[in-house]
Amino acid sequence: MPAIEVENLVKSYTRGMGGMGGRVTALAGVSLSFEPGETVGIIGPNGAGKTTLLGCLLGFLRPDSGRLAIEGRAVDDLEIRAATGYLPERLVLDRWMSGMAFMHYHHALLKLPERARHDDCQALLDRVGLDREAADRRVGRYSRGMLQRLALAQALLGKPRFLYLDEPISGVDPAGIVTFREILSGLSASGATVIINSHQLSEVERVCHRVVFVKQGKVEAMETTHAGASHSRVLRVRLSALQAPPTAERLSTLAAGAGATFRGWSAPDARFAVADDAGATALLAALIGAGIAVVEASPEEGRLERLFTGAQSAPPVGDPA
Amino acid sequence: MNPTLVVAFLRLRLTSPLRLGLLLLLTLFPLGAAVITTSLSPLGGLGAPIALILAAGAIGQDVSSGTLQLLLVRPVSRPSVIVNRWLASVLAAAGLTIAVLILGTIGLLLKGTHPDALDLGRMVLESTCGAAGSAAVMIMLSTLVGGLGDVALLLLAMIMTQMVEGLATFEHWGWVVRASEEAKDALLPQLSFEWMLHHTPPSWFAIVSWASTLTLALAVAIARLNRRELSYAAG
Repeated sequence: MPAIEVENLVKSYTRGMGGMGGRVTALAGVSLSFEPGETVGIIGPNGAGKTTLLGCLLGFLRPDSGRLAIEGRAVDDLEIRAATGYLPERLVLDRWMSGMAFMHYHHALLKLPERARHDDCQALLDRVGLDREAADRRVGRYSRGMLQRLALAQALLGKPRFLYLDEPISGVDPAGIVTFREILSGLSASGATVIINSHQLSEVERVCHRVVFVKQGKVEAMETTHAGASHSRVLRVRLSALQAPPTAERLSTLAAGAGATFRGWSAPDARFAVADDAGATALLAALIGAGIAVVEASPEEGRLERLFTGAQSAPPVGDPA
Repeated sequence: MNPTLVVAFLRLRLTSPLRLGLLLLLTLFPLGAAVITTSLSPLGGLGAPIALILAAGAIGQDVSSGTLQLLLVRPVSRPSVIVNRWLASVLAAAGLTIAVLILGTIGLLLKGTHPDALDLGRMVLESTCGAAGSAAVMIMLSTLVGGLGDVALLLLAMIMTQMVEGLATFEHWGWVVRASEEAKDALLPQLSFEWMLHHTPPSWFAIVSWASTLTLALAVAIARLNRRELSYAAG
């Protein structure tokens, strides 16, 4: 059973006083499913409906129609909420508390064991890189990056099975981004379903197994990324310049023999479509076995940028999210 | 009752310099007057204004700032947020009223006056009931508008009812006067315990009226918050 199911979700808003500005459709029949342990990025231009989708999944917004289920339950089921973590884009945390008091507060709201409260909170603050001095400081005196780290720490309280991250690395320094990647990797391994709403496409491509491209309230495309090792992807193989380049026919034959597809040749790089990690290994073995000097192989990046750029050139929509 | 919600709400309220200043003004002046006049009368009915100060913006401020979203991601239902914030306002208002009454009593005792225990009990009960009613109405208004718009809404409603009552009295419109009085009672629901001093039976109509106004205000608040969309995408 999928962890999260979204079926034909429709959500619209009225605009202007008394709805005189008419209705704007933010989601026009979105259907998606998210598997346990999967990290999915939701991308799209401003106003595409990403925040609305997240709002519906978190129970902040009521859909006009369609079905939403998390482990078969309603999104506002309290047991589901107890297993949910959320990092908001707008970091409006309780500014009058200290970082530690804020963590204690959310630990208590989750009804986690009181005896473990301080240790749990301290461990998470350490994990996101907030030191003791920061923990004792009032949240109102935090920098943007520190707020982001604190918000991530509170989202991780109680080892959530469903984690929603809205622009999670905005304002975070490079060390924080590395920490974020490590945390996400651990969450994925523990079976948590992570949904990331972000404009940081390279990071999304790096950490997500799958990317959902939303445009004008609809799912425009779904892409698997190189983080999804079990999924097909394009591999860019760089060949040694010291050797005469093989012909396209030869590369095509070798690729076919390894279960891959030769996509094109632009010296010194050749592009191949492979089914998964095993397919990539078989292809490289075939190339090297045939005496072709491979100096580098990497998954092709930048597909999301291309997808996004294509969308940006489309006519804008008057969508609120 | 969710102690985490109650304590967090009270800590938030009692760390606000504006609210603390208002609470001090509200309690110190009547306390001084009580000691000077050697009577606890100036301390009567403190519960309602204290509760109004504490409950103002209880929901609206959190909706406007966005902090309510993070709270509602936790296993906390929307009705429980309403009920616990109302409860926190009432408990704090009752506690502060009792503290002020104790200080007033000490002041009177130091001046050689012994306050009537029954009268003290009446004042505590009236203040607590006034606090419960006023906090319920304020929280209901707070679910209707953002920020501290509930304060403006309450003031506007009180001024309007006062104006209508004045006009109706001038024009001898009996039923309008009566309706205005009812509206004023609904805005600040109070319950008198004077009957305790006169050893007469309580007015069940007054009790039911107070309880129904309070219940209705909380029910409207819960219904409104349940229907409220909280994402900024909703505009």
